Amino acid sequence: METSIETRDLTRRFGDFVAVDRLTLRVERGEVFGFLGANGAGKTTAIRMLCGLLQPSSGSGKVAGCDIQTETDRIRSRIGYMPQKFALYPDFSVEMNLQLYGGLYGLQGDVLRTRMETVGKLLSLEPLLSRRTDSIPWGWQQRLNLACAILHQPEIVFLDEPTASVDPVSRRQFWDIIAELAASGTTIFVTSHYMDEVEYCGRVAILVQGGLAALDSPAGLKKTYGHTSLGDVFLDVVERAQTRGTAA
Amino acid sequence: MKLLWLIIWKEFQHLRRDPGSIRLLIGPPLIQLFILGYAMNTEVKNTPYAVLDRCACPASASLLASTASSPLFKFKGFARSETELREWMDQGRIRAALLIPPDFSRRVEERLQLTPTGFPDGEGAPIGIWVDGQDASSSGVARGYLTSILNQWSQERLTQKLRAQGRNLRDLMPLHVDTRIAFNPLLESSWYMVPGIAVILITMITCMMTAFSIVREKESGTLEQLLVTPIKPIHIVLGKALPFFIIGIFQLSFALTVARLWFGIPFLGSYWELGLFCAAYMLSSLGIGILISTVAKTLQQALFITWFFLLFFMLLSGFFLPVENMPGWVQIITRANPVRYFMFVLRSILLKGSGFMDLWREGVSMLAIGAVVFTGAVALFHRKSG
Repeated sequence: METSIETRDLTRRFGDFVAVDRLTLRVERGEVFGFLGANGAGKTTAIRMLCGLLQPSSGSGKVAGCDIQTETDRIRSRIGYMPQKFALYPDFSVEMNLQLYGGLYGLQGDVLRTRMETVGKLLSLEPLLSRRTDSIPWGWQQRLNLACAILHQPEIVFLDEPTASVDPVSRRQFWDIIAELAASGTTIFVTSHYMDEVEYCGRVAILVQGGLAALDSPAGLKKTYGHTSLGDVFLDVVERAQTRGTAA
Repeated sequence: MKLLWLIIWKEFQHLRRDPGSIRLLIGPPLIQLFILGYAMNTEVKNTPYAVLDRCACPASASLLASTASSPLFKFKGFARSETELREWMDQGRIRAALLIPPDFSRRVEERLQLTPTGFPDGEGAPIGIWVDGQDASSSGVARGYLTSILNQWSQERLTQKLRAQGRNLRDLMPLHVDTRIAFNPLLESSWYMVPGIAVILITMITCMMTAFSIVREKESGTLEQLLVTPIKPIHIVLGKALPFFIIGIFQLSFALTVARLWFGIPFLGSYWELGLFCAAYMLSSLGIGILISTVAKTLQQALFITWFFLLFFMLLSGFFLPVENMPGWVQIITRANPVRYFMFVLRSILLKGSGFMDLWREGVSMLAIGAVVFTGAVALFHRKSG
C-alpha cells in the first residue's frame, strides 16, 4: 500500500499551550481516515500543519510524499482542503467560485469545463450554477466548498467538520460522495463530531489534548474498549486519557 | 502571471457585485472635495470686534469708519467700559477690541501740527488693541490686519496734512514696497488646499481599501482557502493592490478634474509626469495598507491602525501646517512621510508647472520609501501567511 500521510512526533505549541502533542500516524492511499476529538483537542491545528498553513514547532510530516516544512508548494497542488468555516465568496455565483478555484489550481479551458461538469454532476450542483452563493442553503454551500476542493483531482482531501450543522439527509448524501471519492483512490482525512458518521471511516484516530489516545478501525475500537457504540468508546477513551493526564 | 490576473479579475468582480462600495468610492470623496475645498481656508475674515470709544469725536469716528468698512472685521458694538469689553471677550462674542483714549482727538491734532521745518514734540495718540490669543495663528493675522488698517488711517491723515503744505508723503517715505505674488496671484486658499485634499483622499482610499480588503478575507477565512491553493502570497498581494492602484489613479484624475473645472485651479505641469509621480507615491500608500493588513486581525484593528498612521501622515505632510514651521527633529521625521513629498509634488506640478528636473529629489524619496515599505509588507505578509 502507498502512504498518503505520515507524521512523526508532530508538535505545535502556542506559547505554553501544546495544541498538538507528538502526533505520530500513517494514512494509506484511498483510506477514509477519521479524526476525532473534543473541541480544542487539536484537530484543526493538526490539519492546518498537514496542509502547509502552519509550521510545526517540532517533529516532521510528509503529505503526498512531500515534506510539510520544506515542500509546502508541492503539497498545495496535490491536496484539497475544506475548512471548518465556509470560505468561498458569497457574492460570487456558484459557477464563478468553481471557475476561480479551478483557475487557482491551474485548470483552464476544456479541462476546467469537463472537471466542472464532472464535479457538478457528482455533487448535484448543476441546477445551482448561476445562483449567488449566499442565496443557496447551507448544506449546498458545503457541497460547493467540497466541489472547489476536489476540482483539481487532489490525491488527498482534508475535510474539517464538513457536515457540521447539516441536516441528516444531506449528511448521508455527503458521506456517499466521500465514499465514492475514496473508491476512486482519493485519500480522505476527515474530522467530525457525529459518531454515527465515523462508522463510515476505515480507521479512526481519537485525539485528547493534542495527543493521540486511540487509533483503530471502528470495529476494532468497539472490541478493545468493550462498547457497542462509538460514542461510548469515545467518552471512555477521553476519560481514560484525562485521568492518566491528571495522575501524571 | 495567470494567477495574478485571476486575483485581479476576482477583485474587480467583488467591486462589480457591490455597487454600494463603488458609490462609496466616488460619493464621499466628491462631497469632501467640495466642502473641504471651501472650508479649508486659512484666510482670517469677519473677526468680531468691539470698540471702547472714550473720545467719541469726529477723529475717532473717522478711524472707526476705516475698520468698519473692512470685510476682514465685523463690528459688534460699542462697549461702555473695559470691564464690559472684557466680559464680551470672555463670552466669546468678540475676538478683538479697539480702545480709544479720551484725549484721542487732541493728541492726533497735536501730532499733525507740522511745520515745513519740523515735527512737534511728543508721541502720537495711543490706541489699544486687544486680541483673543486662543487661536494663536488667526489672532496674529487679525492683529496684523488691524494694525495695518490703523497705520493706513494714520498715513492718510499725514498725507492730507502734507498735501496742504504742498508736499507728498510718498516722496518722503524711505521705502517703496512693490509686491509680486508668484503662482497664485489672488492668494486663493483653494488653490493650495484642494490639491492637498486630493492627496489625502487617494491616500485614504488606497491605504484603507487595500488593508480592509485583505483583512476582510482574513476574517471570513477566504484568505486561508486561497493560501492552500498553489497561489503564491505575492500574487494575492499584487492582485489586491493593483485594482486599488487603478482606482487611485482614477480618483486622482477625478479630483483634479473637479479642481480644474469647479475651483479653476490651473494644471501647468504635464499629465504623464504627474502619473509617474503618483505611481511612485502609491507604491508606499498601498504598501502601508498591506503592512497594516499583516498586523491587524480584525477590521476594527485595521481601522484603528490606519487612522493612527493617516493622522500622522496628514498633519506632518504640510497639508495645512507648513513643514518649515515644525521643530527640527519633527522635520526629520517628516522625511519618512511619503504624503509630504506627494503633497509638494502635486502642488508644484499644478501651480508651478514643475517637472522631473525640479522634483527628482521628491520622486527618488517617494520611490525609496515605497520600495522599502512595499517589499517589507510583502515579506511580512509572506511570513505571516506561511
